[in-house]
Amino acid sequence: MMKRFKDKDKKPSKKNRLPAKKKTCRFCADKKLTIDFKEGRLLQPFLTERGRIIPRRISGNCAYHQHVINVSVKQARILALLPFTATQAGWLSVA
Amino acid sequence: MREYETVYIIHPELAAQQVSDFNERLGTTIAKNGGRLFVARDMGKRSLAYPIQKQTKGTYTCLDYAGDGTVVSEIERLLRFDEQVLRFLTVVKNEKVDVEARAQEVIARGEDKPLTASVEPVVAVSDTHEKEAV
Repeated sequence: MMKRFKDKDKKPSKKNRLPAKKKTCRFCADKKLTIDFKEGRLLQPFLTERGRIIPRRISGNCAYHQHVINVSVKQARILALLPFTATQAGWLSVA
Repeated sequence: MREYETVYIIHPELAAQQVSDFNERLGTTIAKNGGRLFVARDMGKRSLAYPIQKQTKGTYTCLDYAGDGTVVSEIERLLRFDEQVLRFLTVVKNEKVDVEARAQEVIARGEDKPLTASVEPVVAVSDTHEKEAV
């Protein structure tokens, strides 16, 4: 067990890594949260800094809600509430 | 009847009076085609995430209405032909809608209030997201 932390700069190998904490879907946990494409800002936690959609394995969303997020982000992009690409600069100040 | 939601962006240099005139015209179009307008919500002037027709800002308006397909095609036709409209998007909100009940609900829930860009995120950013994703 001690071996894992011996070399601090080294990442533990896949075998030695602790099991990842199970993430829960925040929309299932709190039914009051809604997803709306009109609120580009509310969708930002599900985007990277470059404006890409974060996969559900990282965001922890369930299949259903990730799908809703996915559709909403794409609708928000059409309405210029969110950028399509990172070269469309200055979007963080937008929403 | 279905409930639809149409959001459109109008040219930023258009005066507020002209915008409200245009909104009114759309409202009468909905009524003429047997639809019911629940709320024409002003979303205010916002900066666009990317330029559209060389504009970096736009006036957003959101129409929430019930009707059948003819209403939508008529509205979209008007939006398409108006050169001051930069972009529009129509989505189905409900497949079946009870018009009277929904009209009451809109008022009760305060959905007719103007929507501004100052709404704070309800969802907190999880600190692990950004690092892992990059």
